[in-house]
Amino acid sequence: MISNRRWDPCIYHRGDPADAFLQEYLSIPDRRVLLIAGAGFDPRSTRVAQAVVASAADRVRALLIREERPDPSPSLVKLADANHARLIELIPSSEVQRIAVFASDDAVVGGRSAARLISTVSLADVSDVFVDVSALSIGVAFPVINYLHTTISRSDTPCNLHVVCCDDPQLDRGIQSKCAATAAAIHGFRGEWGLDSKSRAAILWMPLLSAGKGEALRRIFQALQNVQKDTVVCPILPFPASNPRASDELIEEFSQELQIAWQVDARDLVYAHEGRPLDLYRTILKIDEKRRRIFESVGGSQIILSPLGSKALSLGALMAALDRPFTILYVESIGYSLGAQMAGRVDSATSGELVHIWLHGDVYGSSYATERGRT
Amino acid sequence: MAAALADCGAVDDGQPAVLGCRLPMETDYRDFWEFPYSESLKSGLLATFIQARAVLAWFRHLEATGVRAEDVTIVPRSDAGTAIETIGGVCGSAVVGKAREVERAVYQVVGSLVPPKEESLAKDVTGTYRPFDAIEKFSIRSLMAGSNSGHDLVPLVILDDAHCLHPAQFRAVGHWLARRELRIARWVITRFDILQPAEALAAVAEERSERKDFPGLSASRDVEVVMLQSNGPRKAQRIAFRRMARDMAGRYLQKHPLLGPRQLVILGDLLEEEPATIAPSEVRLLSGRVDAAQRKLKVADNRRREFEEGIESFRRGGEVIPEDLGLAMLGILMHRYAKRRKDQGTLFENDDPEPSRPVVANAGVYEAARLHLLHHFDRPFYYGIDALCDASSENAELFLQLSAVLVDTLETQVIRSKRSTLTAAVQHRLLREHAARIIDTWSFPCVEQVRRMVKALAAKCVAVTLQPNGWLTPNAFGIPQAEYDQLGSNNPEVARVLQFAVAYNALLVVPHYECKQKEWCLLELAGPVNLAHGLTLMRGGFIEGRVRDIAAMIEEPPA
Repeated sequence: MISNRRWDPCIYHRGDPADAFLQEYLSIPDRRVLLIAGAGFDPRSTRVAQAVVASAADRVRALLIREERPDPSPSLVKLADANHARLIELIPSSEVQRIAVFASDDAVVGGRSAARLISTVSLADVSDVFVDVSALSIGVAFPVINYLHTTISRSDTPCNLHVVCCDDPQLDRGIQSKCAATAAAIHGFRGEWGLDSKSRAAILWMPLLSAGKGEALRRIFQALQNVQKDTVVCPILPFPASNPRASDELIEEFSQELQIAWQVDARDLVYAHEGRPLDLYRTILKIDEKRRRIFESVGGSQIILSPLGSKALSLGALMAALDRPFTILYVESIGYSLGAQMAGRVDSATSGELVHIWLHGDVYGSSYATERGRT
Repeated sequence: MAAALADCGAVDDGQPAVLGCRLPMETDYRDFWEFPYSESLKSGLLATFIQARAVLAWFRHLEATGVRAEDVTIVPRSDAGTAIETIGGVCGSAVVGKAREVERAVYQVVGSLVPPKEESLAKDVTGTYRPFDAIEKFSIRSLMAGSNSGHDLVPLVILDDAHCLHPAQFRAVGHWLARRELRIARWVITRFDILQPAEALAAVAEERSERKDFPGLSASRDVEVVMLQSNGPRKAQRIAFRRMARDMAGRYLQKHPLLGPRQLVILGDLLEEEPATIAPSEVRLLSGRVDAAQRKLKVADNRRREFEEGIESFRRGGEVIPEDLGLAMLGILMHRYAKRRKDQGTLFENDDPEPSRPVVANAGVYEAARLHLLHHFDRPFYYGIDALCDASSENAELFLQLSAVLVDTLETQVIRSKRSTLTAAVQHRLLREHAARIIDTWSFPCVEQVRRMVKALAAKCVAVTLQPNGWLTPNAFGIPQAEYDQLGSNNPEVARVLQFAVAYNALLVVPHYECKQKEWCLLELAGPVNLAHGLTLMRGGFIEGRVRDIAAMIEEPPA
């Protein structure tokens, strides 16, 4: 039976196998690598670069993105400067580009700017593009990956696209963000959101619950309710997770929302393995397939994703939205701070496990070279 | 409601006369500004998108009431000419089809990862589609059963949250919609964010009769500005808000599944106003402090008795002053007396000199004494329906937020078969906790600077409030009006922070406030800030300062 899912099967590694794969794969002399990574305050900024440089030091060039937000904390700027310097030291030929996430009128423009930036990068002499999302926000990383995926899959030039990140859920929880005023679709992931033809579609919102993201999720829900009062909510909980009680703690944290505001039925909770993005990807697609059949004759179904929280798990939502026209709604962060528990961890760049997903290229055979692209 | 709708012409002879739609601008409209096209093309794309969506929304609303697109005919403007052809003609279903086509075409442009080349844009999206220029009204067939005559509806479009647009887009949209030849009704709703800081602050301060005109656009003739911020006589506003808030709470409680059926629907009756006094041991401690103050200030016993008699005869709401409050008032009166006596030079020794001005127990002393007890003994201060209304800064949403906390607790008490009212102490605690939470969860541009500013302002106000003679109970910071007027040009950073503080209800601006023969502009702390920091909810008390003081408060302290 032929699967209609783009990444089923999918090449995916995590932990030691991911390190081993990178070492072996990048040791092949004809691999010419473009690494796209964030040079931010996140202590994981340099982790992937180290792994890539270890095997392909003289065959790698990098595009380092520095996300700039208004009034950053001086301590975070200092950390970002240190990571920036370390990345330049690792890959001296790196090109550094600064992206203003907010325009002067505080509108979110980071995703659009990032896509425009990537569109100017030549892939002519590149065999493999690695996008390291460890230190990039989803508002910037997702449009970059979408653009590369669309361009590479439509292009005749063979090129492989990989997404990598250093997954550390504890660190993700420790980075606190202040959210902007409005919820919006990530650039390139509108998924027909707001179109009249979708006005009668039954909306299903699948937020990835994450500690400290209550305010952002409330704003997204408000935006959805403005469109459809009876929006159905199926929250995604990380289980199994590095912290076995993570799901229980999230249910406790979001008890008001789950019971009163969102009116979630206990049977509507979706569990996804915290460390396996493919688990979430397949779960979302399975739900979509069932809903499409049911709602086809009454205006259709529209799934809205909000992958706030764990980096690795958010990649599962990204893959689902690359595969099908789902909308990704989020609230951009106007600033970050590190929780008290993170104070001693900012220098521990090697913590967390490496996650590698091979999104497009040789391994999937020639049929994928002409697969449908999407904008 | 029906009468109000009939008065404003929305309902005519029991039938709707207006077909309205609301387009929230917070979605994709701002994105057009990021395109690398000319300004006119970007504005054209935006106008096309707005018009297509408005047409679709109008027809969606009609469909929701059972009117099919085929039963709708567009009545074109007399001078519409060929413009009517560009929107698909006059038949409703064709107009909807065309609007869908245009919406999808523009959506593809706005949704593309990288903007398409200008020359590849379809003709439909670049400005030829102009239904607002063509439509006069909608004529609906068979709205009423058995009637062959058409029923006319005047279209209305509401652009909500227009502050999400780029300021240049906002101005362009304003210009476009203000044209007199358009027949459709149009409203634009926006926050202060859209304005430049100087414009926003001027808008708060300006007299409504002196509005600025934009080039080619007479604000007074073509645009009707309705300010939703507090404006006009403040005392009357506060009284009106209290009345409106009580009414709103009553309606809400009537629908409450637990409290409504039990007839617990008058919020004022559910919030006790019986003041909670401090513990007897604390009264003894306070009494000792007052005695010590008398000795230190050398206040004669006769003078003290005079003050005590004044306090005994003072009434607040017809009630006698409780012991703890009386002691606090006595302490304040003695300090006031000492201050006024000290200024008086005498030639001869006198055990009980007269003060320069009479020292009497009045409302100011009473308020100061309550605040002293709040800060020194945590005596409940914020309770009762009036305090709840005043803490809401005339903002209905804030009122609902604060009342919801009280109603939730009340609900729990009723479920547990406990009393169906909230004591002053419980109200006070809940309101202060919630106010602190509101401030913690503020999330808007310049939020850290706003937080630093209001915290510093509140700290100054608390320091003055706690002066032993209670001479002032401020909750505002006054800067000379002339400095405020120049803020945008002289200190844009402060202007920007103030703009967001006002837009997100951290501060209220009270312009042109006359005091000591000077004109001041008061930056009055909003209700949640007053609650969180323990400041009075009465208005008028302010600390004098300068813009440079605010600039210093905004600055981030060194790490």
